Amino acid sequence: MLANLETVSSSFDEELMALTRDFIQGPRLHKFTVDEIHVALSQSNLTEIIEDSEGQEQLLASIGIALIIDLFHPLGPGTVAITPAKSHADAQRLLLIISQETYHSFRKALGIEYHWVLQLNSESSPELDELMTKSMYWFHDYDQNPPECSVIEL
Amino acid sequence: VELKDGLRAELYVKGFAKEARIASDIPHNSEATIQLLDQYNQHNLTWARMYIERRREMERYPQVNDWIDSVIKGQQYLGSADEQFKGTVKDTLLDTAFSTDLIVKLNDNRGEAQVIAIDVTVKEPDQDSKLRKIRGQREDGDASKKFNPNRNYPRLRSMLGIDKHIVLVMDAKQYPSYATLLTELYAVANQPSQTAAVNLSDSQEIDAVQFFAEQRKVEKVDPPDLWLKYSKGLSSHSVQLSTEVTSRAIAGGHSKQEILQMLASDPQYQLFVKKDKGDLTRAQKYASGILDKVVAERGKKNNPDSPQPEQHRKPGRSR
Repeated sequence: MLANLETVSSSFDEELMALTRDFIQGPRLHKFTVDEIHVALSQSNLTEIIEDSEGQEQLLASIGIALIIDLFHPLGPGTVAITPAKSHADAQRLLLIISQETYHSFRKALGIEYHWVLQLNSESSPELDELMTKSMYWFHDYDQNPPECSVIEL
Repeated sequence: VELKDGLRAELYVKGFAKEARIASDIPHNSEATIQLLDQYNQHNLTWARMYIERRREMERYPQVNDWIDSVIKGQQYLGSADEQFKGTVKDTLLDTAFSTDLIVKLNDNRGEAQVIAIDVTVKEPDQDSKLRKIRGQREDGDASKKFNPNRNYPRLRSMLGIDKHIVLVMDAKQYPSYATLLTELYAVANQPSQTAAVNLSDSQEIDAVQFFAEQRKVEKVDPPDLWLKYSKGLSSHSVQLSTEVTSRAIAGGHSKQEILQMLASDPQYQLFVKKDKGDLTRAQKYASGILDKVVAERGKKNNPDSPQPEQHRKPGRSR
């Protein structure tokens, strides 16, 4: 069953997104133009939940993506969209949502190869080093051929 | 700016190591360190590099991965890479690709120097996974999986000249005192095992918040910090180094008294003290001599009418 997108968008946690952007975002961030995102959204039928004249951050946040990072250098797996979750249950629910065809075609339109649901631990603040280690195991435990959508637990 | 708990704890231990005069380093420069990491710890290095540009300390160095590439491939680097930059990259990679926040050196009971690498953490639940890592196992201890990026940790440790490697666990709010830290590190130096977790999260002796509040007050005038601040990035030695640092400190608006105090941290000053077996006369004369010289030179620069010193040039050398 497809999740209802209206309900989904209202359940995305703004605070959690800001926290996620804050701990991952460094000087290098993968940027798309607002137009590119609009085109991708319309091609993937995710358009009905967004409003016009918003910045790229708001546009991505409206479909649950906190940020998009590049892990290409020097021989990494590619571009990754990141959706935060604050519990195991939320993470599993979000994994179902981002695995839908609509999200897949949105990523395809922008050339994004992977999508992580980042399950954050409520006890302690997330750290970049931890994400680094977890993403390394994610890549290699799948023999360098990880699935497009995964949950990464911090 | 509010510092993260982990970073604050790390700074506390580094401050302690400096104060206790046990702060040390590996003998390898930045390039040699990167080459060893590439040879023996490649997965950890590769993934550290993927995230290195996101780290705050790299904000000013967007070209960091190009430089690391050139080091690994043994190619000449065409951009600019100064010593400060290289040092920052080395420290960052030792931290992210080799679980080492700082290195100390102290003598064990038999008088033999022990070099100890320290991984500081305020997350007690991470103690076991961090210990497995420095012991050369997967963080999650899952022996059924064939991927293990840490298998060369013990080997690389000895190649880097490190005798012991520990995970130091502290409470984020209550730090162990310097005395406790020193006692524990001597215990590590004397133990036969190469790796250990030292959990000091229950020692609760120093209030972390208060410590850093006081630290901020002291920072403004603390002479050793002034020396570190103004000597950063300089590669000169002895008189030239003293002169350059003093010149920077004057430009930074510090008083003569503060600069003289700062010069007590000058290696040249300390060399005189050591040679003269604690007699400060010659060292102090040296410091005030440097200060007078720099002040006089700055005076001349600001007064172009005053006579310029004679230029010394070797005859017969023209371009």
